[in-house]
Amino acid sequence: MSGREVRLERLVGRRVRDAGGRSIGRIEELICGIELHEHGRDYVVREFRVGTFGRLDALSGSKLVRELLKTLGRVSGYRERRVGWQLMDLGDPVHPRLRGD
Amino acid sequence: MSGVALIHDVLDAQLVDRRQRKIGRADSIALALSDNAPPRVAAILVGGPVRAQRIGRWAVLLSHALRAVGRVRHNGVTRIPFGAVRRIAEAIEVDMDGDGLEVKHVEDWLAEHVICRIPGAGDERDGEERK
Repeated sequence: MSGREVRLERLVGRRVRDAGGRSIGRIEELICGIELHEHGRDYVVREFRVGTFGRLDALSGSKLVRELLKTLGRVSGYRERRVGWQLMDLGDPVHPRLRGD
Repeated sequence: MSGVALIHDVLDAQLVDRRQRKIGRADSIALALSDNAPPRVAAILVGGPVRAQRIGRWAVLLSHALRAVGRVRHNGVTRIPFGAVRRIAEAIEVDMDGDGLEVKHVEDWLAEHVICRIPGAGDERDGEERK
């Protein structure tokens, strides 16, 4: 997948599955940091925030609903998981997967 | 972990050039993917067609139609390398001159052909002179 480019909005909201095919939530945020090198600096993605809504996951396709459920917090069973870039397989950006177990 | 949250801090944020002039909003962000390396934030994309793609197919068609009717020759998309970002705060400051950007041509075209025809859309100075 070297040299490919993807737009942020193609990733956001995508359901992430683990190696066993189980959904762990949807990509909600990308956290990036600065990487310094000889020719200057790059902003690189360090972490993906993946949110899950448990049984309400089926409703969480729209951003508005996701934000509303996140605000409701405990009631909706909202959980956020932080996934390092090394663990995220974006070979197919439409179907992101977790590497390993 | 501290860092820049791309959706919260960058997407849809106001962009200003090195002279602090507004040059549009971050309509999209391009990420470069490569093997065994973290995704790199390649560029900020600005322009109506990019925003239309986020909205949906009907907005893309509308955007094409408007460009055809208006005979707009520029593609209307400005790509700002993320390396040009100087500061990320309330607005994102980029080390560029807004005059040379594609999005400025579209803005100028809209001001000349559309905005100026709206009643009351005169220059602020006109109002001051009338007072």
